Amino acid sequence: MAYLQIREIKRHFSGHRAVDGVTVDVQQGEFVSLLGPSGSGKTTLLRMVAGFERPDAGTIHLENEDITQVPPQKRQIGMVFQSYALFPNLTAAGNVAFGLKVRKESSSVITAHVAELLDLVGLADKADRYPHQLSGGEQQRVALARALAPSPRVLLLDEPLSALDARIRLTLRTEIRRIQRALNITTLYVTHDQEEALILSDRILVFNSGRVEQVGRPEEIYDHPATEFVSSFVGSVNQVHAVVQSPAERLCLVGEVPIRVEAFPDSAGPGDSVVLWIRPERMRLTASEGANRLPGVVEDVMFLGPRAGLRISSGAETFLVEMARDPSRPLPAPGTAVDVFFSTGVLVTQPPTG
Amino acid sequence: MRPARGSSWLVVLLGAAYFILPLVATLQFSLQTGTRPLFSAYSSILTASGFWASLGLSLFMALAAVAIGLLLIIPAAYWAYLRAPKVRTWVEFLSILPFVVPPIVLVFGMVGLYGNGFGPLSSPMVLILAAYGVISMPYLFRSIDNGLRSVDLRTLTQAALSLGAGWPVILLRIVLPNLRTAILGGAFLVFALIMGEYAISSMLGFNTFGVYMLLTGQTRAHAAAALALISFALVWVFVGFMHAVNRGNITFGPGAR
Repeated sequence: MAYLQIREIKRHFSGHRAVDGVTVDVQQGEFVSLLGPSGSGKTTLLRMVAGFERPDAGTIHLENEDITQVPPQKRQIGMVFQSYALFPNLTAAGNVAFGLKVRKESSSVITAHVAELLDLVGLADKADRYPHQLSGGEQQRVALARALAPSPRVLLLDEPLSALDARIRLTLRTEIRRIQRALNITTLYVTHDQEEALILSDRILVFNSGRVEQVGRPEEIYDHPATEFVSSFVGSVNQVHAVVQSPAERLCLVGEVPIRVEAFPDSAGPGDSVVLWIRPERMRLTASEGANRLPGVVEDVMFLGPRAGLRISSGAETFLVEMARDPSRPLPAPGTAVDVFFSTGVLVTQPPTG
Repeated sequence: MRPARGSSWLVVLLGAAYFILPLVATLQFSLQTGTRPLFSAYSSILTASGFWASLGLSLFMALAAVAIGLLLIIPAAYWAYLRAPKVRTWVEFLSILPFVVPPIVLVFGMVGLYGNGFGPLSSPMVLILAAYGVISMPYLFRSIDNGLRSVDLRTLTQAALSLGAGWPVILLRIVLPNLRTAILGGAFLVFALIMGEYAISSMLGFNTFGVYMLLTGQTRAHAAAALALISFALVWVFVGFMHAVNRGNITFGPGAR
């Protein structure tokens, strides 16, 4: 039985279904990200696990105990908030000690544990600072130490990095993963940043309109998106429009160019319109065996640091090709005719009707 | 566009004149004692038994009104803010009712309803404290509501809950310390209001500081001027006290920080 079991959880707010029948199992020590756009239900689910929201239906079990109706203060679930939520009247050490004092630990245990945790988050020298004397990144580190102090059974992080600047975000996300691994603490992490989810997680739940669209390891989510939404939300993707020519031979036409795919949707018949979802980095300018070939013209060249992006048009289609940049090999100039190659393993969907 | 420095000073001088001139005039009048010693108006007030008795009574009532108001308003405002945001509009409406109900209506209403048949609860002292509790509401609720909005107590409460804290701990260790400025501000307004209150206490037959001031003014003009300045000084003493508490120079109990 899974460590944390969420079963058919539903929650609606004045007619709007915020969470619509979500089921997920989380193993002990696992780092699971809830990824989705604003309003997709990920934070509402997290708040129901924390106990701040009551589900309309469904159950939450933690270590085989039904905690669906248990008040938050009795769940032993730690939480880190987007806005840090440090107690302004307490120092960094006072904040970290709060949960331990509530549990009536002895002062020697509290002192030792607070020092250990502040050291873990790299703030041993700032124990006596008040929240307003700390930077955003430091405040979030204190919030993390505070949440970890009472040794929670599950750690919840609600977009903990979104209020921080880009450089601090990169550092802190590495720290979060390091600490999570060191303590082997079961973690649910809410984010709308796909890069964060892909880098940090053991598994990702992709949310859309209150439902989970796909659950999987980061590489599964990225390489084999199950739906159009996952494909477009996680990473960037080109949509190339085609017409089915022969479902048996798995052939379609992009303009006049025949393209082979691995599978069409079951309902797609000859003459039907389909959309090929192709990642920019899966499109290449060098031929490989069995790959599809699409002739086009370079419209624009973009410098992306270690990579380069080429906007290429092919008939009525325009798409982006991304490749590693090699300073010794100049990129094709705008107006150059090129052949673009991509494998048959692409997601194919039918455009919505009506 | 920045206003000219000269015009800023003119505004400051006009404001200062508006506030200071009446005080200077009152001081000058209180010192016009003819053949008697210069500060005789002050000494006559400070040695009068009625002054200390009425001051003591008003101090007691002001502190009691602050205590009653805080006990009622803090949990109500916190509950409305946290648990029932939709009720907040009604709580806000109720809190400003004392502004539109004249004291005479309030007193006669209370005496009519509770004046008889409620045992000790019908005593004048209980009635006057209840009335003071009611007229304190707008001042305390406004201050505390503003305080609640300025520190995002909703998220702080959730953070404390996730750390295992129960409601009494949250109220004592998170809510009250973070509302300290708001509570002190509201408490001071109520304190000043009750110290000078006249209508309710005179109707219920209490010789409070406000009543004593009025009676003094009717019979001894110079002493009344001295009394006005003494009460003004008292107000500043309490402002200073509040400021000191707010800056942490004065703390209450262990672990205030």
